[in-house]
Parts: sequence; C-alpha cells; structure tokens
Amino acid sequence: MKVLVVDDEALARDRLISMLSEMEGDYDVVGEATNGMQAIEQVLALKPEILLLDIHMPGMNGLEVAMHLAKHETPPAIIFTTAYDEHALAAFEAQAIAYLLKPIQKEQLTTSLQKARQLKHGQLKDIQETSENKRTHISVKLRGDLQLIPVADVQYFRADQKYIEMHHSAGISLIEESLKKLEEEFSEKFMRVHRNALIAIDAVIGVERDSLGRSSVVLIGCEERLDVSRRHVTALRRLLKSRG
Amino acid sequence: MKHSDRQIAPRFSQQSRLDGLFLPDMCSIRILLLVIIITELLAIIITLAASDKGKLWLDLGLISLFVQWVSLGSILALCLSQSLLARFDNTRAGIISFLIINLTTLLVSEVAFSLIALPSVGQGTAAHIEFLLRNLGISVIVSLLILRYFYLQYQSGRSIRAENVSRIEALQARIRPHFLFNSMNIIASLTRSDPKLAEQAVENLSQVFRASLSETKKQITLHEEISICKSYLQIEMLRLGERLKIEWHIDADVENDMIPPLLLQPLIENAVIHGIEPLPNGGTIMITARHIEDKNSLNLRVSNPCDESNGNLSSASSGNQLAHKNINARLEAIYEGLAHFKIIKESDKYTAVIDIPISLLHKSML
Repeated sequence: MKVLVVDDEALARDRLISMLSEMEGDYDVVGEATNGMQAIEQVLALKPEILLLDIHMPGMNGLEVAMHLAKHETPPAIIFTTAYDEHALAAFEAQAIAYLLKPIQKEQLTTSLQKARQLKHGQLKDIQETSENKRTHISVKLRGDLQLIPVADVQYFRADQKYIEMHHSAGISLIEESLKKLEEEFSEKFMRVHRNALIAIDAVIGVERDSLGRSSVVLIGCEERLDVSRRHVTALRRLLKSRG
Repeated sequence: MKHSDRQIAPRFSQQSRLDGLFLPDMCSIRILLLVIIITELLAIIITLAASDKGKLWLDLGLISLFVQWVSLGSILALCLSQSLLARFDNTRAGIISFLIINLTTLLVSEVAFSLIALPSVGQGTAAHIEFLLRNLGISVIVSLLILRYFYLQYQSGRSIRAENVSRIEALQARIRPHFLFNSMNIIASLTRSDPKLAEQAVENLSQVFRASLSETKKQITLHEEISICKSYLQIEMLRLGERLKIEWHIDADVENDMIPPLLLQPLIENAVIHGIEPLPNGGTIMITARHIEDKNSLNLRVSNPCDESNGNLSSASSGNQLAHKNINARLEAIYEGLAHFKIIKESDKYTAVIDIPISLLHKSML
C-alpha cells in the first residue's frame, strides 16, 4: 500500500514513518508533504492509496485538503491526525471517519488503516459542512485532474443553469456548487449583487448606471459589467461609501 | 464563532431553544403537577379568605373547579404555543405567556359566567364586568409571580452552568491540551531518533508545567520568567523547526525586577500559535524588556508577524482573547489599575505590550 504522510512538523512525520516501517503489512511511504498545497500536488503525482493527514497546518488545513480530494475520481483513503481539536473530533465521531490522536498509538494506527479503506466520499463533505472552516481554495475538476484556484484570486461567481462560472485572474472555470452555499461560506469577502452573481468585495471599483436606471458593477480586471439587481444596489453603494 | 453556531444550530435547534428560554417545558408532566398543586393552594387561599360561614367545602369545590380550569387551560395554551414562543427572546416570550395566561382567565371566566348563574356573583352587566375584573386581577398577580419564579429558577441554573464552564476553561488555560499533546508527540518521536534531545524536551516540559501548575502566589524575577519562556520556546522550536525564530532584547537592569509568574509566557505562546503557526515559512518573534525612564515603568513587549489576510481572524480567535482577558484580570488584581496591557496592530505586525510602574514592581501579590 502506498502511503503519503502529511504534517507540517518534521518530528511528527518522522514518527509516523518509522511506525509504518515497523508495521506488518506492506506499507510503503511514497512521500511526505509539509502543507496542504503540497499534499494535493503529491497525491496527484504519486497516487497514494492512504493519506495520513494532519489537520492543523499553516495555509490550507487538512480538512480542506480532504474536501478537495473528495472531488478527485480516485481519492486516497484518508486518516486524520490531530493533537487536540474539539470541533473536528466531534465531526469525525459523528461521521465515523478515521482519525488518530497524537501521540499516535500503534494499535490505533493499525485499526485506522483498516477503517480508512471503507470510508465513503460523501462523509468528507459532511465534515466540511459542520466544521467552521472556510476554504482558502476552490477546486476545479479538469479532465480527471484537480486544479486549485485561490479564493483570493476570484473576482466573481455567476450561476448559469447547472454550473457556476468562476471568474478568476487565470480565466474562467466551471464548478458544481451552490451559489447560496458559497455566499454563506465566504460572506466576509463576497457579496451578492444579483440573483445569479456573487462578487469579491475587494474587486469592486465602482457602480455605473445606464440611461434606463439599471445599475451595474465594475470589477478590477474584468471588462464585463455585471448587472446589479435593485434590491442589492443600496448595500453595494454603502460598501463603496464606507471605503471612501 | 457566529458562523459555526448557525451551522450547528439546525441539528440541536429544538433542544437548545428550549434550553435558552426561561420557561420550562410546559408540556411536561412535572410542570403539570407543579401547576396543579400551586393552583389548588391558590384555591384554598381564596376560599379561606372569602368563604361564608358553613359553606367552606362547597366554596372550595367550586373555586377549585374554576381555578383549575383556568390553570389547565393556560398550561394547554402554553404547551401548544411552545414552538412559537421558542422563536422569541426571554422578554417577549415572558410577555406573550403573560398575555396567554390572562386571556385564558378571561375566557374561562366568561364561559363560567354565561353557563352557570352563580348566586354569589349575581346577574347583570355590572356584576358581569366585576366578576371578570376580579378574576383578571387575581390572575395578573399570580401569573406574574409564577413567571418570576420560573425566571429565577432559570437564572440560578444558568449561573451554575456558567460557573462550571469557566472552571473548565481555567483548567484548560493552565494545562493547554494542544501544547501538552503536541509536546508528547514530539518526545515520542525523539525517543527513537535522538534520546538526548528527548530528555531535554522532558526537562523543559516539566519546567513549563511546574510553573503553570504551581499555586504559589509569590512573585518571581524577570530572569526566572524568561527562563520559563525559553524552556517553552525550546519545545516549540523542536516542533516548528526553522519556522520559529526568536530575538531577545532584554536590558541588563531589568532582570531582577519582580513580576507575577507567567506574565510573559502566555504572550509568547500566543505569538507562536497565532503569529508563527499560520505562516508556512514562519517568522521571528521579538521579545523586549526594558525600563522606560520618563514613564518610570517596566515595559514588556512581544511582537510577531501576522499574515494580513489572516490578521483579523487570529486576533479575534477565542484562545487569544481568553489569554488577553486573563492577563488583564491579573494585572488589575495585582496592580489595581496602575499597570497597563494593550495590543498594537499594524498591517504586518502584532505587538502585545505590558507596562508596570517601577514603584510597584516589588509589591507582593494579594
């Protein structure tokens, strides 16, 4: 079995690797990653079957890594590791997901390795919904591969029938999510301007009004003007005013 | 926190709302029995006070019948409107319940008046209105008393719960489970690869916990406090490696100043957890201790870099706030408002500052 070990602390990785090497069964550590982004890159490159994933990491945390990987066609089985994290533990227990508490015990590692293989993908999504984490990246499926777009690079989301168009600094991507959930998750950085559009507050330059009295918003780096529905105009103007 | 509350709410909504309202579960048997007993006592009081000679038992029967109808009607109405009441805050729910009870009283009185022609009440509009008003008067007073009773009971339950929570928080602030288990994990790893370093880590960990768990209220020198901080930082350095860098600027003349133990360490721990850990490439924590001549005070500063996009989040996190609250409370208790604690937020730097007047440095703790 190919195993990838992810933890930002070198000593924590060392310990897991040496424990795995002493275990019965053919566990082969194919790589190590020190943060979330690296973990996803390594999963795509090395295709491990099992991921030992620390939750508490700088940048993208373990829960978000799992969320993105759940969209992958053949995601690895995931075992979370954590020293102490009440919120996450409650979610794990509710979803019967494999996790290990540091310092990790040998017998528990053995049981988790067996349990992790039976995990269903949907359960990982449920964790994200119950935890208070906000994603730092949005994952885009690209011919079986995964592409990660930093939320900070997104200018706006626009709902279009079944998909959502995500406009970001590197182009346009289609994602399968709900605008309402995105709005809830990123309420601090994005605002609704129309039934079908959610814009990045930081990207707003100004509001224009045409001869018919319809308003549209101008965003940094976008030639296109987005319609602003009447009920959202005041909130948008208030935002611009507060910024001065 | 606000966000998570909203997300977790649906699952426990029923329970947490009932828990949040001061009214007890009106549909429970316990409350039903309680109300029946209170009502019967009330009926006895009214009878004893107003009954004519020789008609005691007859009056008691009639009054009980009437008052029980009012009470059971009110309980039924409150039980049915429970899910509606749960949507309001305590004040509104209280007012609405008050109205429900008194409307029930009027309703039952009205029905009683028109169905049974009570000889003692008499007939006619004037008697009718008087009957209604008298009953309403009793009902207003009794319902206020009962609602007040429920409210007091709710408050005492709540303060017991709050006390328990704060006790647990205080304990956790002392032993900091995250730090403890992370350290244990490191030591477990080092015992294989580098037993000497593991030994050192155990010693450092012991020093930090001895300081955290000691009950003594004695002050220590700044030099001793710095030694505790260094033990703590050595453990964190094992964990974070290259990512954690420390710069010390300790003036020679401050080392013998007496301060309360663990004044500086929590600030440094905050800087590690909220400043360095979120940064993939780490950063430098700067610790300064010096005398400021013109203000005549000891000035302690701990500053850490902060990720701009993360800055707001980390400074507002509950752990951080708890530490700040503790420090403020301790300074207040020891120096009675003469020492100051403040946070300076800059775009990429976060600094915690403590100022203690030099004249108070040797003041013993309470």
